[in-house]
Amino acid sequence: MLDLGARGRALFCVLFFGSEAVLVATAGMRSDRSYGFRMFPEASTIVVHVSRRLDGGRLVPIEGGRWQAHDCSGGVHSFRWGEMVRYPAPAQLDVPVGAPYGVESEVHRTRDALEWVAAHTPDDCETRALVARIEPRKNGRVLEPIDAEAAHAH
Amino acid sequence: MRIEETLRRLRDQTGDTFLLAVVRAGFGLLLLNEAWLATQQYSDAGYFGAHFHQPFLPEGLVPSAGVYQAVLAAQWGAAVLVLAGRGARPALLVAAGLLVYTMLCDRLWFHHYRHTMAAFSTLLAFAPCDRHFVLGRAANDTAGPLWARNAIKAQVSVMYLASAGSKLFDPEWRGGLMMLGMVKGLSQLMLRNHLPASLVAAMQTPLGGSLLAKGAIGTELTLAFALWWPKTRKLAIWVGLVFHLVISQITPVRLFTIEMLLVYLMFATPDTGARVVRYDPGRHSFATVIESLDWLRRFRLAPSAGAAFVVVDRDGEERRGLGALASVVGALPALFVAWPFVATLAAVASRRRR
Repeated sequence: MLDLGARGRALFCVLFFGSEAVLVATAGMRSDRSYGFRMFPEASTIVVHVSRRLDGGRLVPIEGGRWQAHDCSGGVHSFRWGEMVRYPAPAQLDVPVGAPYGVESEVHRTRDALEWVAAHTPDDCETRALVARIEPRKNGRVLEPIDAEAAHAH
Repeated sequence: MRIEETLRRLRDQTGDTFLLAVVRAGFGLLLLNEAWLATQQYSDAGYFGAHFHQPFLPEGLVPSAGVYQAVLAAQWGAAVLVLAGRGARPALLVAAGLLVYTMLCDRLWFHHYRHTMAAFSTLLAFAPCDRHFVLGRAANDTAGPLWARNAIKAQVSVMYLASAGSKLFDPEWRGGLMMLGMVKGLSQLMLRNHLPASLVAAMQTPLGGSLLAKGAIGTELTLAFALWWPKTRKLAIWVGLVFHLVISQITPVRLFTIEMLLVYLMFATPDTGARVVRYDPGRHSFATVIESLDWLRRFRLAPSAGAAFVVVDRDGEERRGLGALASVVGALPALFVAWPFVATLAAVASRRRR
């Protein structure tokens, strides 16, 4: 099956390199530019600050990557951002983290991480939403901060 | 049409398959390493689905913890088969498929070296890479179809063109801003890798960043073509070797460097024993060093009492002295990094003799 004849070889190469060409051409459409051989695209970092929006709209920053909250029965639970969001996603809050696939990729990861944490902390009945302020630095240049918010699932 | 003729020739070429087996064994080790890394991550951090992950696929196609353990076991099994040479070709396809599947299950797993490993493994599966270094089976020296080897070479060019192209059309990359930032961020790593402090400092200037950027773009664009042309191939292989070794010294990239050095073997002419070393075993005991370093089987040793030390190159030309040394150094992987210097000395000496 793997020993192809002349026609099979030509067809295989057309399919294989055709797919490669499509992946390279469309890499810009993916936030991490994956499958496009864009090696070392940027020397960028982001700093992510996350706060919890409580009842009444009050914002409480998450400090040291940890917070405590009551569940719906009144029990107290501890949560750690870095336990739920692991490297190479932005696992550390309030410090610069590398963005090896670019600012857009790391912002995308942060937004998705926010949504994931908001959806996977059912024991936190106090938080109405998670709010992130992302401070990107692209190739050494400071960019405008980006705000993101994810509604809590409970 | 010349292009059509060339493509037919590349499609129908047959030849020695020894180097394909060397590359297969190398990829077997790389795939074993991948299985080990994935297992280590699983034991340190637990099942990836239990914490934040970013699937390309619908969540329903992401494996459960139990299925993921089976995936890990399959990765180990495929890697062992590739290394052992038994069922190696289907195992290469399975390994490539698993790499792509795991990356699609979690975008955080994506790395360029994993993508290229999957691509090269897929192409290698269609090459007769299992005729040598097969556990429990004698080597098969018959010629085999080399079209997949040519496809691997084409893949290398595609990578260089895509990489250089993306950098060329990015003003911040082209101008050196990205390199400046990268060098600043990796300066401590470079110093730990024993790069001179003055060199690291020079690379952190705007001029240094700009030169590095243009050098990288120019090198990749040149290699995409120069690796194919017989007159420039050997020098291009040397430039590529140094290029990737430098990258591995200034960045934390190692596995991609190993991959590239392996696939560079595909650019070596597939003709084992095409060069002959005539020597006197009584006077030229260093010939055994050539034998021990001839990992790619470039030479056939022809001992003869009283013979002068002569290297007969594949074109039939006899080389002596520095010319012979250049021939040897240019064909032994462990000494190849010295080849341009020895070849230059040999050329100067030859010109002086005339």
